[in-house]
Amino acid sequence: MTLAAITIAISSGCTTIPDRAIPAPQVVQQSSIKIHNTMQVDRFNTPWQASPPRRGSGTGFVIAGKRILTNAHVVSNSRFLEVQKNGDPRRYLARVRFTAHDCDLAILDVDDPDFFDNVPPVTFTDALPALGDTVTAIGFPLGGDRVSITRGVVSRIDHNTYAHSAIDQHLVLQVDAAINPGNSGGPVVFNGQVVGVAFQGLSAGDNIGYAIPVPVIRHFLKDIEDGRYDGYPEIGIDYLELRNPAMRTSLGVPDGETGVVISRIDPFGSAQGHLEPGDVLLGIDGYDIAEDGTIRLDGNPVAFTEIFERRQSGDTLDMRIFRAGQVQQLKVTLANPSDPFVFRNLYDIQPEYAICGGLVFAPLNREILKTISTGFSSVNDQRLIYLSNYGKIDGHHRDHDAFVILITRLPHPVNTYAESFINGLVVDVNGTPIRRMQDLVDAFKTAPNGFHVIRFAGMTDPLILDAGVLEAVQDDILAQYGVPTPFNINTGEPE
Amino acid sequence: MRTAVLSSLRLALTLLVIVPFRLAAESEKPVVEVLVSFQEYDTNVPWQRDATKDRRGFGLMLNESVIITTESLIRNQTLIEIRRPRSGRKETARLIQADPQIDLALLALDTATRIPVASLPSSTAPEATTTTASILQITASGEPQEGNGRIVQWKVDELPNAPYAVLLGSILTDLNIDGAGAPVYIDDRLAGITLSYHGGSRTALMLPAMFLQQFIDDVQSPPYRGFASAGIAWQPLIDDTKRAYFGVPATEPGGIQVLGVLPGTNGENPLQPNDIILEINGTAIDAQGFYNDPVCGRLAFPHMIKGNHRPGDHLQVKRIRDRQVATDTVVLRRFNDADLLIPENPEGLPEPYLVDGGLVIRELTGRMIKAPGKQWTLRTNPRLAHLYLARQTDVQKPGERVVILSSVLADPINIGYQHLRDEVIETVNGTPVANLHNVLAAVDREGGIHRLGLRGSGVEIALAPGALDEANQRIATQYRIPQLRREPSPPATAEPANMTARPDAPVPADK
Repeated sequence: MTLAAITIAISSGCTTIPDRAIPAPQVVQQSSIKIHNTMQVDRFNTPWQASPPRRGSGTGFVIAGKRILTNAHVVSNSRFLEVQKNGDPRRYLARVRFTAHDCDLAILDVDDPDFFDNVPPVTFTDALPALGDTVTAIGFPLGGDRVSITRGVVSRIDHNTYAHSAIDQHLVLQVDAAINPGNSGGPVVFNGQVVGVAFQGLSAGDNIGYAIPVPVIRHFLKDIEDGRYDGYPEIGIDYLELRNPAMRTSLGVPDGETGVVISRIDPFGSAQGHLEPGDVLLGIDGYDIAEDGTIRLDGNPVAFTEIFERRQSGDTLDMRIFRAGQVQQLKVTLANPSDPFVFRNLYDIQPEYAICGGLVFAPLNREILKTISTGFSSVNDQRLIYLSNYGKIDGHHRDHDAFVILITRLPHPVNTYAESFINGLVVDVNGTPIRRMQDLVDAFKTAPNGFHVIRFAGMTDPLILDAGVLEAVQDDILAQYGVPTPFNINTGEPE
Repeated sequence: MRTAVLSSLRLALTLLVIVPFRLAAESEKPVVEVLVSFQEYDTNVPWQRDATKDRRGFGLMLNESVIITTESLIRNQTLIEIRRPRSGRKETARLIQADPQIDLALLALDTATRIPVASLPSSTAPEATTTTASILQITASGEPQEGNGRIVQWKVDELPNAPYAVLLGSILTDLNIDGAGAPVYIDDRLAGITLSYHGGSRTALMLPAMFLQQFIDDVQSPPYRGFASAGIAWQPLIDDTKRAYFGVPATEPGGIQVLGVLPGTNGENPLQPNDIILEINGTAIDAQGFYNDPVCGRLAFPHMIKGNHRPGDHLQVKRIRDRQVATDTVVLRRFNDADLLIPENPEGLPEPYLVDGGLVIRELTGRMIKAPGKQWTLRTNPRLAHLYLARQTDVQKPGERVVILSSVLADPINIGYQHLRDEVIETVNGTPVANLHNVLAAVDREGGIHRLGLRGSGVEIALAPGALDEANQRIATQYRIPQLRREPSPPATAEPANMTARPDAPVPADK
């Protein structure tokens, strides 16, 4: 399965569903809400602009505390948000209170207290449904104004990638109930209780839909109890299964002990400063890790990383490790620190950029990678793919707080010969190392010998600009291309 | 320029109508068919070769037993056969010398007990364009066939089948050329041989006869020295701002920018990145890298070197460095693909490897990395693709290669590692490795791979020493590997580090 094959289920059209509605508990139907979102997507290749506004609709449902739970992707990049109860022509203004882009969930508030009259909150199941259980999906697919109900069975419970962020993996319920655009954010019900939130489908398969199961929903709701969404904690380790006897021998692991071997510590992960490469992780919070990296949880073998899925930032874990010939106990506090080198899809931020002499610089992110349509055949384009995959593994984060790149040029005689530098990683400007966007802006303030000298990674050839000419034409270029301001820095950090 | 090309195109189309092909009644021009069976090495499984395939092209008989043709035609040959026109009989031939840097090969018939001295028939120098030429080939039925063409352009460009820049002529022709190596004549004098033909544009690329003559002379005066290379990567220097920054006087209209010099030549090649070359042996180089050739007119300067000099020749290079003008003496040498951090291996030579404990260890090559085809940049491991594309400016030591764990052949000895592929190897048994020689030396010294350190991983993978021999026998049998290693060619011995660069390869002029 490829990421591209996963489609998120937000609707912008209107058709009827040729499916027989199966009565679901009245309460859940009453709680289901249609969400109307006017959204505007930022353009990362012209980062001072946004795309034309467009409208879409999805589904949400009322939960305890007079809140609406829906998918993050239903309300992302929102400029104007309305909600509508089933069978009620009136629309109410709504606001996004919390967004969790890493698990595609969001909470909405409605200011008008009348909205919640006669709308009971749903209840959630305590456990996951079993394979084969019949579930009902409720929503407003394909733009319809009346609630739609489809039925199917739970066909698989597994970890899978959430298409909204494109890189996060959590537990998902796979169901064969029809989940179409517009169903997103709607409840999936078993025995009158919500077991999941419908959120994405698989275009390559027949009747394969996915729902976010209750454990992920509860994780989100618990996270926001303190009024802030921290996100899933990131342990930040790579590991090898300890299945090879020679590996066991070389590490001196005692007979009877099993676990995984830590091969790399992410510089931004929770394990940094606690675990080390070469440590054998034997157990976490009393759960023994098998040689294939599984633990027994609720009677089933699951990957040991499932423990981190169930914990919040700030929680402390007891880890049993084998290091330097001894079994040791460690406490590791989980966190989700800001990591500029995580390449998620981005929403709800104004892109950073800086323009000097018509050259547009920006920090590398996934949205910029998506604007490159050349097949990554040039060395500069390929370097961006490399940095997004191996930037931290190969240690490039040590020289950068962000990978600042030249994303495009606004053509002008001052930058005529800059074309071949596009998508190059800026190493230094006028001798000043560029760790972050602000360094770039500061470095352009002085011009030794009347030239700006920009050096790029992997290129002996510098880009040279005439500082006097650049100063004289900067405003003209901005005016010519309708750029309101030459800089937008640190107004929105990637999550 | 565009009008001129179109005019010549119209002329050629006219010729197409009024001049039919003619079959040479008696072939005075000694063209023969060259029939080649070849086997390429499998890029993924280096101990295997692909199924045998065939190529057909042409050659020029230089005397009763010596033939000159293209190197790319006989590449990876397992059998070469020669068929004369209207003969049908195949005579086996053997390779005397091939050079991918000029795409030429010299063959001798097996029947020859001694190889007579060969010389090129009366030939022409590369001259002005719009010259009418005739091209000779042999039809599938064995008949000589002659067609007309018009040389529309001379250009220093990359060879069709290898990344080396050479002076090539473009011929617009009415003949559907059915294979490489067809001789081209102007006024009954040899002008060159074709290297490729594009049916859509009816255009053939021709290697001029001057290179054939040099190649033949070189082969017959052993040891073979090959063709000289400037030994630098360079780019045009058009940008006035950059010219001022590098201190090129406003009165100086020419000059090109050096990007890097060939590895292994640091002691002989005093040029440095960002030197500005103004003149070579007193001949001015313009800002686009062209010079005024006394025969061909305006040509890219690498032809001045490849066409007029030999390895070992000394060049006087006038250059600007740090805003100062000076003259350096550059000793020319033959480009050696094996000097590169990541060799291209355009000829598809058998690549060295080691299989130990099921770990398949190789040196990264351009041939290997491009094996997925046109979309290779999207299908290749991003780290390896980046290493390859950025290789021109990576500092390297002579003999240094990128050693990779390309795959793991599943076996009980390597359980837990079988998912690993395309990983860069940094240490073997705790010793840093810079090439496969180092790996083999460690294996021979210590009886096999016991520990392997991979880039980006803080833990070495380990193999059981006592189980290696038995596992290797099992793996060789199970995976049908006739030899568990192929030795690399001897390592370079030069000491100083320098810049990698592909010689004479101009980069886009808009830098």
